[in-house]
Amino acid sequence: MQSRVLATSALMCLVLAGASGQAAAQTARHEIPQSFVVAHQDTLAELTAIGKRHTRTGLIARQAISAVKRHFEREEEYILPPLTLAPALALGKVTPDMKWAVEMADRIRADRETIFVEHTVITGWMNELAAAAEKSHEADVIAFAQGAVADALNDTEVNEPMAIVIGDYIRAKLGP
Amino acid sequence: MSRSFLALAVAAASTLLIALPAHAQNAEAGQKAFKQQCGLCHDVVAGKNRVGPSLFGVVGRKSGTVDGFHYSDANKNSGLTWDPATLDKYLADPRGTVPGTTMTYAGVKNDDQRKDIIAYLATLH
Repeated sequence: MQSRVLATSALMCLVLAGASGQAAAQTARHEIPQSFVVAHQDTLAELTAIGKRHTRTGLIARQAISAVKRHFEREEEYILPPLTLAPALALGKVTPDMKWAVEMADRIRADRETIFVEHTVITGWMNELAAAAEKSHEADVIAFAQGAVADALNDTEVNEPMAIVIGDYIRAKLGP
Repeated sequence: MSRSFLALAVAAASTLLIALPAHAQNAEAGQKAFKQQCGLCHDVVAGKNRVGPSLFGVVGRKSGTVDGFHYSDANKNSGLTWDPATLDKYLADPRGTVPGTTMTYAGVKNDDQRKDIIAYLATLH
């Protein structure tokens, strides 16, 4: 009986330690530029609103939303946070507390193909959405899809490479 | 049925199969497929670039040469000319054909649809 109590206590300690580790990881989550906060909120709100329509576009939007959310979660976890450092770096400020961005940049570099595939999946959904919207004459949905594919290109052309550059710059300035 | 007649019939059928393409390219079907698969990013009006470059006159064009469109280095330096065979390969697997392309599109996996799209693109001159 005593051993069972001991085992339970040990398990509780482990669970608590795990939970506190998780909490630490959550508090270590870095912010993203406010412009992206707004852009993500607006995109999800618009896609959710389209998803409420009783049309083919509504059905496609409901299917697409999980891919978009998954990609946004990845972006918010480690692709966009380094970009918050850009204004300070542009002023010539590099401080040791920026070092977290180095690890994120390495992660983006390692995951670039996976990230690119996520963009292609979203583009595929947007193609489908726009094709359905054209048939049903939903001009707002076509505009939404056009904006979403432009965002995907913006990520590939600018945001992801820039986050890597920021990490590499900080590494070069602060050393290993 | 005599053996020689049978042989003749088989020969005739074989000739017919060789003469007919596996899938007759259909520019009209290609236009529809283009709208669904490519139209969100590409215009077909000369000089009208969107997220992707205008595809007016793309067949026979060298890659990365549309005025006013910013290409990835990968696309600019690929050295490809968009003849039907190259387009077919690229459209099937853009990233595999031009590694580093920024075209965020997985590719047209249906062979017939791809051929139709290329047939349509060939009409844009």
